[in-house]
Amino acid sequence: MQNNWVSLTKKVYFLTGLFSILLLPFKSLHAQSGEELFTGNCTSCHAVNKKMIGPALKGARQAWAERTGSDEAIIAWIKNSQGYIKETGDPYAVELLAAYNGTVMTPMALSSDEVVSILDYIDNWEPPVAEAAAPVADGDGGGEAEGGNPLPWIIVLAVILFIVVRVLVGVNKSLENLRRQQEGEDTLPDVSIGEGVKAFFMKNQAVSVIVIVLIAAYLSVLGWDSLNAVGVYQGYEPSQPIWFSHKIHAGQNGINCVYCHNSVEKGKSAGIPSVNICMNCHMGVKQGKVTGSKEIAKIYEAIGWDTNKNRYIEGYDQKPIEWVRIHNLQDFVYFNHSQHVVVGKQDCENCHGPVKEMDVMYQHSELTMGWCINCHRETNVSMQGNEYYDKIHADLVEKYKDQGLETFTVEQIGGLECGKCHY
Amino acid sequence: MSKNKIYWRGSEELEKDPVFVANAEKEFSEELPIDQFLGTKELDSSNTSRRDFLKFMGFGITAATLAACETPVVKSLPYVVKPNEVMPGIANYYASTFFDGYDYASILVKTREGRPIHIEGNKHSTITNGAVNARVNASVLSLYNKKRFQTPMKDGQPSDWSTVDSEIGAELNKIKAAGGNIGILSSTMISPSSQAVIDDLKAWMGGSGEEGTASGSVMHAMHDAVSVAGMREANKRTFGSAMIPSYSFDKAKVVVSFGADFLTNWINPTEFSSDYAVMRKPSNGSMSRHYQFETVLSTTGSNADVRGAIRPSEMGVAVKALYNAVAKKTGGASAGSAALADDDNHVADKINNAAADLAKNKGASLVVCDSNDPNVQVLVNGINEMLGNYGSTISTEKAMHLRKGSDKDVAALISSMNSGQVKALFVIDADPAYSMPASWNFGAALSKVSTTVSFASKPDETSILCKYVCPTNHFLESWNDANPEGDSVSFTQPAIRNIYDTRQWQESMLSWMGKGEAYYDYMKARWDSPATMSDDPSTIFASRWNKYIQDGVGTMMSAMAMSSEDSMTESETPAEEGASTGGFNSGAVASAASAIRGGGDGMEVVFYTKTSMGVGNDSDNPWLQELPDPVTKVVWDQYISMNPADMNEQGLNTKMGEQEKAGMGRVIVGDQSIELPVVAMPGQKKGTVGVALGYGKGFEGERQIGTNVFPMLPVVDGFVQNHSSIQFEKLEMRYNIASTQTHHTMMGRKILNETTLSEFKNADRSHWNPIVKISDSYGTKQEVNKLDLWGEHDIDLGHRWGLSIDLNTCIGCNACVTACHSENNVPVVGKDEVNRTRTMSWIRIDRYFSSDADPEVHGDLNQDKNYAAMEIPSDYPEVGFMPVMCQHCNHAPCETVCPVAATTHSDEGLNQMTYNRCIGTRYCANNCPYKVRRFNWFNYVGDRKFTDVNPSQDDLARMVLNPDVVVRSRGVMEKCSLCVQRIQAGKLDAKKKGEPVKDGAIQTACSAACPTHAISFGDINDKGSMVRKEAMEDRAYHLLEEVGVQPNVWYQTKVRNADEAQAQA
Repeated sequence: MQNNWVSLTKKVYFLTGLFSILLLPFKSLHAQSGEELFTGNCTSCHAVNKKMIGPALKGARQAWAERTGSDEAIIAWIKNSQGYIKETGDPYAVELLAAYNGTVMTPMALSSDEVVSILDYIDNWEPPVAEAAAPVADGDGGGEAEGGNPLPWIIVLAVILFIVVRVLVGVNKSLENLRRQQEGEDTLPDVSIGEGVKAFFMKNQAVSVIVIVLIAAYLSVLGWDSLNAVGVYQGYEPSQPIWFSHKIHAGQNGINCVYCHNSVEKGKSAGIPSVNICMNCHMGVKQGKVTGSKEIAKIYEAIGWDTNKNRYIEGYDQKPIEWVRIHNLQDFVYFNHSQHVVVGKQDCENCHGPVKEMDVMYQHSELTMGWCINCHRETNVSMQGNEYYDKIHADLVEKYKDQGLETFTVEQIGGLECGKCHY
Repeated sequence: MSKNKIYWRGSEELEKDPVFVANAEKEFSEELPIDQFLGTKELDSSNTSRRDFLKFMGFGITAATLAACETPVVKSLPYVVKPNEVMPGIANYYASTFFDGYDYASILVKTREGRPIHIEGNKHSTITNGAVNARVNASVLSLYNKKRFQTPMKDGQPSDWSTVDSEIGAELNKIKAAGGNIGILSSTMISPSSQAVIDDLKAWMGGSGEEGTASGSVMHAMHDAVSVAGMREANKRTFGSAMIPSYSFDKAKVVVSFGADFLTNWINPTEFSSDYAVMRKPSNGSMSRHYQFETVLSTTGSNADVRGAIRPSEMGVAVKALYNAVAKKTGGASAGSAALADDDNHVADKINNAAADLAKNKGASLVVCDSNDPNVQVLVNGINEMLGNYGSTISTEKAMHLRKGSDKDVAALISSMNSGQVKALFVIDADPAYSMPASWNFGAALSKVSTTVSFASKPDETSILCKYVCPTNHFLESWNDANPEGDSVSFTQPAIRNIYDTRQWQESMLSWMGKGEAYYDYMKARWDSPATMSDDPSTIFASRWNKYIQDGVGTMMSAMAMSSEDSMTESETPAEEGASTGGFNSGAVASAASAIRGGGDGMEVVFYTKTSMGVGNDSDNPWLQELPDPVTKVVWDQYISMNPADMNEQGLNTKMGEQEKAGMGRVIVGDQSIELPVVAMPGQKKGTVGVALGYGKGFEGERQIGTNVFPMLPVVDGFVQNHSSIQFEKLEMRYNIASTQTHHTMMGRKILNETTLSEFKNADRSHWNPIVKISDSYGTKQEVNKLDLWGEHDIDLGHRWGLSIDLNTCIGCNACVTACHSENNVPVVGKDEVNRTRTMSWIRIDRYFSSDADPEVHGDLNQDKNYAAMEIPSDYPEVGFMPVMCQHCNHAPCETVCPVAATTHSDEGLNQMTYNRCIGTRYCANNCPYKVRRFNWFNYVGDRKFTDVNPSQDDLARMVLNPDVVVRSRGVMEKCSLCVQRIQAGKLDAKKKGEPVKDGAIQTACSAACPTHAISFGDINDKGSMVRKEAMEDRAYHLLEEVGVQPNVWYQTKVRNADEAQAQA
C-alpha cells in the first residue's frame, strides 16, 4: 500500500514537474533529493505536520519568509541555530528555542541548496491519504485471506478425494457383485477398509516393501532435520518487555539502523540502544501509532521522565529495560559486527532479514556455523580502495593467475580457518 | 521320557503332607501382605496399573528432559544512560600509576565494560619506559579480592563511616586540645598531594601555631619493609644529604653489583631492568659487562657475565677489596687491608678483573650494593667517586624518592609510643606488625596507644591489632599523584568505581580535619597553578589537566617536587664534619673503611626478596603464588635455599619432583627459629642459606603459606640488616614441594645457544651458531629445512606472524608469564597439580645451569655413568633463561596427529587450537617436541578442588577474565595462541582505517609486558618489521632445529661478555 502510494505521489510530482519545468527548472530535482535529505537528517526530531522534539515544519518556511522577506534567515537558522541566535539575536528564534525547552538543534552540515531542497520537499508534501488507515491493518496483517496457508484446502481436497475413492470402490464392488449374481457366482465378501488394505498389501508384497522403505526414509529425514535443528533458533520471536516495532521506526519513519545501534560500526556488538537514545525522539513523541502512550510510558518509567513537566526527575532510581536477547551466538564464537559492516560492507538486512517489515523482531537467519561458512565461501571481499588489502590482493592475483581471478572470496583469504572465529 | 530318580524337597513332599500340597503351587509359602503394601481399596479399583504408572513416568521424564534442552531465555540489559566513553565490546585504556610502597610503575589499565582486566606499561613514562614486572601485572587481580575490607571496622566488627568518622574526629580534637601527639606510620610516600594532606594535618594539629599555646604535633615515620636507610645515611655522610640518587644503567658499560637484585627487586626494578637491557644488545658490537657478587643466586646474578659467591658477612670486605683495587688503578689511597676469609670461587680475582674493567670505563660504570650498612655504602660511594660516575651514571641532583623509609625514625616513633606520648597512631599502606624486626616489638608499643587506626585495604597483621580500620581504596579505584624521582610526576586515576564501601585514606584524613573535601578536588586544586608543571602555562588548566591524566605522566616544576629528605631524625642530626651538599666528603671513607667487619665462619642466612612475592604486599594473589621462582622454579612455597654441595654433606635430597620429597631444615637465629623445606640452589655460597621474605602473611584462621621471617631481621647500629649468622639443623621430616622444572642442565645440546662476546665479534657464525645439518637417506649432510616430510604451506601469502626472543636481554623476570595469565584467562591449578606436571602456563621460562661435565667426554650415550654426570649442575654455575611458548611450527607435529582436526595451521603462520572441536585425546601434546601444550585435566572454574587456588571461581574475581578469550573447560587441550585475539583486533583496526598493519601496532601480551624488549612480535612477511630483521640476524636460531618443524619463533643466541677464563677466573 505504502509503496503504491509513494509511486503514485511520485507520478503526480513527475507530471506537475513536467508542466512546471519551464518556470521552475530544478524544482522537481530538489524535491527528489529533498525527500532523502529530509528522512536522513530531520526525521529523528521533526515531522512535517506534527510537533515532535522540534516543531512541525509545514508552513515554517512561509512564516519565516513573511517575517524576513526571504529564505536566507531560515536557511541560516537550520544550518546553525545557535550561530544564528548569536549573530542576529532574532527574538522569534529565541522564543522558539524557549518554547521547545531549550532543546538545541545540532548544527547541520548541509549546503544552502540542500536546505532549499528540503524546504521544497516540505512545501510539496501532502498528508498521506492511505497512511492513516495502514496501522490499523498492521495489527495482525490480513495476509491469510489471500491464500497464504494452503493446509485447510489440502485437507478439504483430501477428504473429497477419499470420499470419491470410497464411492468409486463401492460402485466397482456393486458392479462386480451384479456381474457375479448374473453369472451365478458367489458374491464378494463384505470386508472392512482395514481388511481390504491388509489383503492388498499381502497380495502385493513388492509394493508393501516399497511403502515401508519410503516411510522409513521419510522418518529418517524428519529425524535428521529435527536433530539438525537442535540449538537453531531461526524464527525465534520472543515477546519483549516493550512492544517496540522496527516496522514503525526503521520502516515507516526511516530511521537509520546505526542511529540506535550505534556501536555496530565500532565494536563487536551492534549494541542495544540505551534509553537516552530513545529519549532523543521520545521527549517529543509521546503517542505511538499503534499502542498509544502505553508502551512509550515504559521508557519514561525506566529513565525517569516527568511527562507533565517535560523534564527528567531528579534523583530518580533508573531501571534498565530487560530486553530478551534474540540473536545468541555461543560463547566460543567470536563475531564482530564492525568487521562485517564497515570492512565487509554488508547490509544489516543480509543477516537480519526484512527488519523494516517486522513489528516484532525475530531471528531471520539460522546463525549456524554452516550458514556462516556458506557466506564466507560465496562472498567476495571488498578489497578495492582499502590499502590494507593491497599486498594480499597482489599476492592472490599472482597465486590464482592460472584462473585469472581478480576478486577473492573470504575463503580465499583464510576466512574458513578455525582460528578466525574460535579463540 | 522317563525318570527313574525322584528327588523330594523334603519329607513333606514325599509324604504328601496336606499343608504342603495346598501350598505347593504358591511361590511363597506364606501369604504375602499385598493388600497392605498396595495401600487402599481405591487403588484396587483404579484402572491404572503399575505398568501404566511406569509408562507415564518414563514418558514424563523423557518429555521433561527434551523440554529442558530448550535454551534459557537470555536477557540483555543496556545502559539507561550510556556513558559516552563506554562502548560495549571495546576496551578502554587509562593511564595510571602503581605504587604500593615497594614497586613503582607507570601503567596503562585495560578496562572492558568498566572493569579493569589487564595492566600494561605506559610507554610515555621516561622513568619506567613502559616496563612492568610480575607483581605490577598481577595487581589487577587483587582488586577483586573478596577478602578486602568491605566496610570500616571498629573493634573487629563491621561499622559505618559516620560512626567511625565522628569517633575518630572527636578523638583527634581531644588530642589537639590537650596538646598531645599523634603518630603516622606509613610506607614510603611519593605522592606530593598525599604528603600535603599530612602537612595539613600537622598544621591543623598545631592549632593556632602561636608559641606557648597548647597544640598537638604529628610524628610521621616512613617504614620500608626492605630498608635502604643505610644507603641514605651513607649519602648523608658523603654528600651531606640523606637521599637516594638516581642511577642510569643505560649509560653504564660496566656494572658491578654487590647483592643488589636491581633487575627484579632493588629500589626501582622496572626502571633499572629496561635501562640495563639497552646496554645488553651485542648486535651493536659492544655490550656492558656485568659483575655480581652475592650470596643467593638472584635473578640479577643469573644474568651476570661474571658472578662471585660471597658470604653476606663478607660483603663489606669484598667492597673494600674492590675499593682498594680501583684505588690502585686510579691512583687513590687504599682503604686498608681486605682479604676474604672464605673464597672458594675466585672472588678475589674476579674483583681485580672488575676493578680493571671499571678503571677502563671511568665515568661509564656503576657500582651498586644492597647492604644496609652505612659503612659499606660509604665505600661504594667512594668507588663511584673515584670512577667519576657521579654526574654521569649517578645523579645526586635527581633524587629517587622510592625508598624514604628511615629505620631511626621508626625506632623513635616506637619509643614515643612506648612512653605513652603518642595518643593516636595512623598506619598508612604499611603492615609494621608483619614487616618489622621482632626486636622493635611493635605490637607491644601499639598496645600502649589508645586510638589506633589502620587504613589497610585488606586484613593484615597490623589491622587486627588496630581499634579502627578505615579501609582505603585499591589503587585502581583511587586518585593520586606520584613523584618517583627528580621532577617526574605521574598520576593515578580510578579505572572502576569503588567495589566496596571504602574511602581513600587521604579523604578520611581531610574529613577528620573538618575539610569535607573529595581528595580528587584537593589534588586537582594543588596542580591548578601555572607554576606546577613544566608545560605551557598559558593554556587553560582544564585542558592541561586532561592531558596530564590522559598521558599519566609529566614533568613538574622543581618547587612542586617532594623533598628527598623529610625524615624526622635525619634532618635533626647535623651532617658530619666536612660533608657539604654537592661535594664529596672523602673523609667519610676512611672512617667507614675502618668500621668494616670481617665475616664469621659459621652458617649464615640471607633474607632476600623474590620476584614473585617482593615484600609480600600481594602474597595472597594466586597468580603470584603460582609464578615459578626464576631460579629454583618452585611454586606455592617458601624454602631454605642451599648449595647442593652443602646439602649432600648434610644428607639432604637435592632432587625435585613428585616422587622426590624435599628434606626439611631448621634455621635458628637467636631465640627465633623457622622450619622449612630445603631446596637446592646451585650458585648459593657454600656455608650459607637463603630464606625469602614476603611469605607467611595472613592472620589467624587464614591459610598461611610459609613463615614470616621479617621478625628475624637483625638491627645493627639502628639499621635493619638482611643477614645473620645462624644455627642450621637438619630435620628428619620430608616435605612435598612443587616445581615446574626438575631438570637443570642442557646435557650438552644446543637448546639455549650461547657464545662469548669476543667469539661473536671475531668468529664466523658457523663457530657459534652453526646451521643444523642432518643426513638424508643417502647419508649426505643437508641443511635441516631442506629435508621434509610435509608439503609447504603458502607462508609468503599475506601475514606470517612470528616472535623473536633475545636470550641476551631476557632476564627471566616472569613479567611475561603473569601478563599471559591475565590476557588469556589461564587457570591457576595449585601446588598439587603443578607437582603432577599439570601446570597450565602458556609461556614458561626454562632455566639452565651450566655443568662441570664436559660433553666431549661425558656425552657418550653408551656410557651411562658419564652421561649422568652432565645432569649435575656446577656448584657455582652460569645460568641462562629461555622463554618457551608454542613455537607455531609451519610443519607442526601436533597438527598431523589430531584425529578431529582441532589443531590446524592458519594462512598467517599460526598453529590454531579450536577448543570446541577438541575431544582431548592428547595426541598433540605427546607429539609436541617443545612440550608447550596444556591439558585441562579438570574444570578449573567449576571444580571445588580448585576453589582455594583458582580466582575465577569467585563471582567477583571472574570479573578479571578477558571476555575476548574463551574459558576452557575440562578435557580440552590449550596452548599459546600468539594472542590471536590481539592479532585479529589489530588487523580489524587496520582494515577499518584502510591501511596496512603497522609494525609494532600489534603486540602479544608477553611482548608488551617484557621490560627489556627481549620479545618482539610482528609480521615476518613485512619487509620492514623488527621481527624479520631479527630473524635474519646471525644470532637467530630455532629451538630444536634438528627436528625440522620450522617454527615461527626465533631465538637470538645469548652472548656473554666474559671469556670463560674471566668467568671462572
